Amino acid sequence: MNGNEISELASMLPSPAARDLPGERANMLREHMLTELRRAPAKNAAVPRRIRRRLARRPPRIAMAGACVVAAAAGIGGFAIVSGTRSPGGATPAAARLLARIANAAEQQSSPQVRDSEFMYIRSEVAFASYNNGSQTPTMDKLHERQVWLPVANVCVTGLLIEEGERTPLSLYPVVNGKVVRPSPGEPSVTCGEGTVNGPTYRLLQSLPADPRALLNLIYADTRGEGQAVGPDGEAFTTIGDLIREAIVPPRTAAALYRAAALIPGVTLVGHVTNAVGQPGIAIAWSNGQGRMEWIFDQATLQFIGERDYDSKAHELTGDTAILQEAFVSKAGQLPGR
Amino acid sequence: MEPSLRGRVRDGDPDAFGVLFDDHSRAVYNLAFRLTGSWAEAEEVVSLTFLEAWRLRARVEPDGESLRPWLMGITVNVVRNFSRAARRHKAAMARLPEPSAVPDFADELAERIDGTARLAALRAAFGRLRPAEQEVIALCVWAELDYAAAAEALGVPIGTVRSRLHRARAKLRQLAGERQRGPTPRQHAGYAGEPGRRGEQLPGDGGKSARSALGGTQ
Repeated sequence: MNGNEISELASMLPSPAARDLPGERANMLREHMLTELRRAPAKNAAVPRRIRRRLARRPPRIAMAGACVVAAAAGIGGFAIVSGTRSPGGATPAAARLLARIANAAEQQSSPQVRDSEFMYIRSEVAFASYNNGSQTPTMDKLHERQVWLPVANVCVTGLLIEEGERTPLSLYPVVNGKVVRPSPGEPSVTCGEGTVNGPTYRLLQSLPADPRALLNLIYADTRGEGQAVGPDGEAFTTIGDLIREAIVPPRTAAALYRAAALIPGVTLVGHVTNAVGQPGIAIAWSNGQGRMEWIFDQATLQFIGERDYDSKAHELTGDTAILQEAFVSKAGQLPGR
Repeated sequence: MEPSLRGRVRDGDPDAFGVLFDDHSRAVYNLAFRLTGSWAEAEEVVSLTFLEAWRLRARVEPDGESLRPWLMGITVNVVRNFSRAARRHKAAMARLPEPSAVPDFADELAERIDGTARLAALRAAFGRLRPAEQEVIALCVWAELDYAAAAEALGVPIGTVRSRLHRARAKLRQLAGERQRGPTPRQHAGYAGEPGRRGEQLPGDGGKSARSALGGTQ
C-alpha cells in the first residue's frame, strides 16, 4: 500500500487523540452485550426488509425477536455498500399500464382536510412469517387483526398499536413496560417533526415531489447502499411499499408513487390474486431469485387492498395482508365514527 | 481440534464475542468518535456495533485474519444508519445501563477544550468530503487498516478504496490551497460534537444522519 499517501492524508486532517472507554463503562458495555446475546438465541434467515420494518414497530419484546429472526443474509444494515445507480428500463408494459391507471384513480380521490393533531387510523388483517431456529422454512403467523394510530404531523407524538390483544405505544423513544421513556435533558434525543421517507408522517407524504422521476431519484438517493439482498431497484420498490402499506397517502403523492414504481426495472403485473381476506385483485410485483413482493389492488376501484410476499426458495407465503379501514381520528385509540 | 475464534463467532458463542469486545472495543469506540464527534454517541455505537456483529455473524468467513476490518465495517454502517440500527436494537438499548460513574471532571474539561478546537479544524476539512471518502479515511488513516482490510470492511473492491483515497487527497490539497489564499469558502453546520447532535437528525433517515453529523456535502 502507499504509505506516503496515508501519511499525507493524516497530516492534512488533525486527528483527535484516541482514548479508552471511560472508567467502568467498558465492563458495563461488555456485560450488557453478553446479556443481550444470551437473550437472543441463534437464528439465521433472510427476511425481506419490509417484514423487519413491520416488526420494528412492535413492542420492544417482539422487536427484539424481530432482530434475531432477521439474521445474517438479508439486510439494510449489512456492511457491503451497493451503489445506488439505477438499471435501465422500467416496469413491463402491462405493469406500467396498470400503474398508470392506479395512479390516475388515486389522483381522483378527494384530499381530506386534516388537522396536525389528528391520527391516521389503519385497520388491517395481517400474517407474517418468521424463520425459527435457523430453519430455511418460514412459519406463518395466524391471520390476525392489527390496528394502528399514527401521528399526522409530528413523529414525536406517541401513536398506538393494538395487535394480538396487546396495546403498545408507538414511539421513537424507548418503550419500557408499556411506558414511553423520554430522554433526560442533555441526552441524545430524536428529532421531532414530519419525519423522513423512512419514517414518514402524513405531512411528510404531502411534501414529497409530485414528479415521479424526481420522487424516484429521491428514493434511490435515500436508500443508497441499502437492501443489499435486493439491490437498488428492489430497495426502491420496498421503500414505496413501506410508504403505502400502512398509511393514508395523499392523492397527489399516491399518484406520484405509483408512477415512480412504473419506472423501476423488474416491476411486473400479476393477475388474479386475492388479499388476506379473499378479496380478489390484481397485483404489481417485484421479484428476484429469493422472493417476490406483491401490492394488491382492487380490480374495480384500483385501491390498494393489501399485499403478499413469497419466499421463492421455500415456495412459501411469507406475508399476507388486507387493508380493511383507513380514517383520520382525533385521538390515538379512538375508532372512526360512521 | 479447537475451533477458531472465527468459527466460534459464526456459531454464536457469546464468549467469543467477549473476546472480540476485549480486542476491538477500543478501536470501535475511537472510530465511532471520529465519525460522530461525540464520545457519548461513540459509546452507543460500540454497543450497537457488537449487537449488529452478533446479528450478522453468519457472514464471517471461517478462514481469515483478524475480525477487526469486519467490525470496523459494521461500525461505519451503524454510524451511517444510526437511527435504523438503534431502532433495530431498541429493546436491547433500552436495557443499557445509564453511565453512573461520575466522569473525571477536570479530565473531561481539558479534553473538551482541546477536542473542540481540533474538531473544528477537522470538520472544516473532513466535512467537505463525500461520505464514502470520509469512511475510507476513517478506516485507512485513523483505524490504520490497509487497503485490502478497508475494502473488506466496506465491501468494495480495493481499487475503489484507492480511488476514494486519491480523490479525498486531491480535495484536501485543494482545500488547503483555498485556505492559504483566503477566507473559508463555506460555512458548515454548527458542529461541536455536543451530546444530542445525533438527536438533531431526523429519525429513520438512514444514511443522512451520519452524513450530516459529518457536515455532509452531498
